[in-house]
Amino acid sequence: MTQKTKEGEWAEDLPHNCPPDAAIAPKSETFYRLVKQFPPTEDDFYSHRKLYPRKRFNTNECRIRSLSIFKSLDECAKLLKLPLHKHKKIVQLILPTEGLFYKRGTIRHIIHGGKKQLMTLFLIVRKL
Amino acid sequence: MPQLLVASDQFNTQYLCLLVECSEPNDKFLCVPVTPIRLKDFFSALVELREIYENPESDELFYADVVGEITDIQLIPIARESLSDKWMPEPDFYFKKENRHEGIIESRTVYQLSKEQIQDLLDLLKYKPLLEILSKQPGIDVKIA
Repeated sequence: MTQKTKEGEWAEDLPHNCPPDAAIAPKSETFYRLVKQFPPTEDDFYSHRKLYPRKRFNTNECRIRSLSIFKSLDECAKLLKLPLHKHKKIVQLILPTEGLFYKRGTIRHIIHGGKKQLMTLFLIVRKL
Repeated sequence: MPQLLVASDQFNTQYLCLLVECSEPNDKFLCVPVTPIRLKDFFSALVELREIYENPESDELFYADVVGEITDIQLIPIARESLSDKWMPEPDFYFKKENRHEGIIESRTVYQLSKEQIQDLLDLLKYKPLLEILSKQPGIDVKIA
């Protein structure tokens, strides 16, 4: 993790030790994410914690405050076959260098610094 | 957020549970009992997810309302005819389990409630005020659940 990050820099409040040390800065790579509508709105980039402030989850708080993104379009599109995601759309995004992400399985979790910057870079990807 | 989980009951029957609704505070899972062979086939991408729910091995389907962390789950039986298509996965979802971080999690024990048990619980709730009155009468020993 880069040490230049300061408290209050992130889009949402983060717990201690978050982002994790393994998190790295993106280098203008392309990623994919599921959103409810196109063009996406701000709440398409809210973390689970922001969407469900009092909910108890089965994972750690850092992950709950991250967003899931995919490097592979196929992996992202696969989720459209699941009940919770079948009506969503895929957007392609290029991560701004202000964010940090870490990998867990095939999913990357991004902790971002500014939604407006992120949202100007979206492209719709048609369902495969 | 895990989309799929494997749970097992007190008889070591395994259930594949699929997240179908997410809200605060609860999540709903659609659960189907699966034999170890079928589960292995699913994890090996040999059988698709929809097939498991469309043609369950034991013709049983359940849903589970989970509040908070996934620990103990109660399974409520549902009739296949009443199952909405919005809870069903789309065709051609195959999954290959490569490591334990792949999105499948394993829950602890699940408990099944039969239709009869559910009816008993409803009956008990219906008569609870009467039982409370009776329990206050001298000489009558009533235990309220």
